[in-house]
Amino acid sequence: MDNLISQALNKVHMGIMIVDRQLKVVVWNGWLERLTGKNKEDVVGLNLLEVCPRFKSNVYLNILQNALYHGQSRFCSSALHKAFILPKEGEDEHLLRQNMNVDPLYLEDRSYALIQISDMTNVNTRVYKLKNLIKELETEYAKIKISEKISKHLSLHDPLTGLPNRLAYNDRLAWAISNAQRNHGKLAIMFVDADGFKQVNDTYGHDVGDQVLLEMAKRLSETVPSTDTVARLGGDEFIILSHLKDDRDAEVIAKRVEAAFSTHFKIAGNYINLSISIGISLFPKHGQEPSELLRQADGAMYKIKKNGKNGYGIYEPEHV
Amino acid sequence: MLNDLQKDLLTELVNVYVGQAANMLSEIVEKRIVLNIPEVELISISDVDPGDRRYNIFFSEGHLFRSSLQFGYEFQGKAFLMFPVEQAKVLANICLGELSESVIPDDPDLMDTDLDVLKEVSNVLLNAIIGEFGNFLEIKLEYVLPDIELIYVTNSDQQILLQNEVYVLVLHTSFLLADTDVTGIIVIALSMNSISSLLAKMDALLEADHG
Repeated sequence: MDNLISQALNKVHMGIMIVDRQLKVVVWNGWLERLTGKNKEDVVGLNLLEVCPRFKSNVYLNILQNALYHGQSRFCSSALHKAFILPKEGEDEHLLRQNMNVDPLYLEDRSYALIQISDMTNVNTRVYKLKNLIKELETEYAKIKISEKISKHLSLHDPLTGLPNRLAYNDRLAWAISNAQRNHGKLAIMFVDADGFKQVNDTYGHDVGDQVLLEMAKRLSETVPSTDTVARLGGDEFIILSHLKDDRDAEVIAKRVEAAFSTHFKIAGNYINLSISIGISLFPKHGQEPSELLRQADGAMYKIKKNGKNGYGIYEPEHV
Repeated sequence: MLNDLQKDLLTELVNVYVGQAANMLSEIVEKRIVLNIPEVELISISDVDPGDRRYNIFFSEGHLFRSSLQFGYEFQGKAFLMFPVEQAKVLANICLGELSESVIPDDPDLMDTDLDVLKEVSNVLLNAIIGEFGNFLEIKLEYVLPDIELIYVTNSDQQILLQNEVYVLVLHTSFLLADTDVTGIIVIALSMNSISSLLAKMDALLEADHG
């Protein structure tokens, strides 16, 4: 039976070593022989610290003492300690990872420490690869999130001026109307169109035309409160969504916007005068539907254009 | 269950014990770890008010890391160290010198190596506490390596988490490391005999002090 146990001890896939209270090695199994190249006959009877120098550190001496004198079992992880028993010379020890269990053993009135070493190198390599994969996936995920954000911004903003585009405006208008319906709010929809913008393009070229549109966007944005929305519908058409306390406020805002265009634009050494025509519709006075309100503001603007441009007008039913 | 004097004495004792464990852990992970147990209580789980936030871990649903260590004979019981799993992940990451920013609370990705680290941390801590209780009571204890498990706790599970154990010592535990405060709880379930011997020993000590 003892012979069978001894054979089994040498066959198990882990290092098994027993030391006594003087740290003298009593058992040294086959796994340890194969790893270290040190035979049982050469090791048994030697002091553990001579055979395995890592145990000279206070941490391990304490662990052994606690097992031998206080009966404490201890587990040491490869993640924190790397390895305890080093391989024979010439073999790479840096990748080696081992877990260690230390348990007390008793025989008659003597106590021993059982030291079990398990090879965790493959597990650690797998975890390392998995962690790297997770990191890569996280980086990719972050990149996708950023590009999603960019494409969402692009789909809702005008690339030239950076203002919300028609799609975004429709969304905001619908949201503002439903909000105003709940809170009895008032809104003004102002259709703004530059007078004679085609001539600017024809006279100075498209680059200057683009600069004019940028300046228009800037002046409009600076004129209305930050809670209001200025959007570019396309070409030289802009639209303002204003929150009002009273319908009469719409005219105050329109006058302010008009005034913002009273000074000329200086672009690429050219002085350009540009007036604007503004058509206004009011919620809830003129309707409840976003498309209806937009059409009414457009109609009011068209009437201003027809009557000599450069001014503002509030929708009246006969406009459409 | 404990009067103020007993509570103070026990709090002081366990803080000395975990101080030693903290030193050992600091040496292993090569970082300064401070362990704090601001409060110790002896309670019966059935008497705990579920609304008391200090006992959230017993009553809230979610993933839990639990390490348990059985000890006996004269002073018998079972000690548990419990963390919500995201806190356990932060602790493992810091011990391994890794950043912990990307912990996703609903998706705890504790790996084999993380569990090994937590097993070792709980082993050091529970050994220190149980070992020193043994010294305090002047008795020889036998105990084995802790078992660790990741469990998903539902409300109904909470009722059976500590079944069969009537009274428990609760040590509210806080790991202070690398600007992070990881809080868990150590629960020591004791037999009635063990509680009596602990209380008797504490009373004798307090009496000697005041006598």
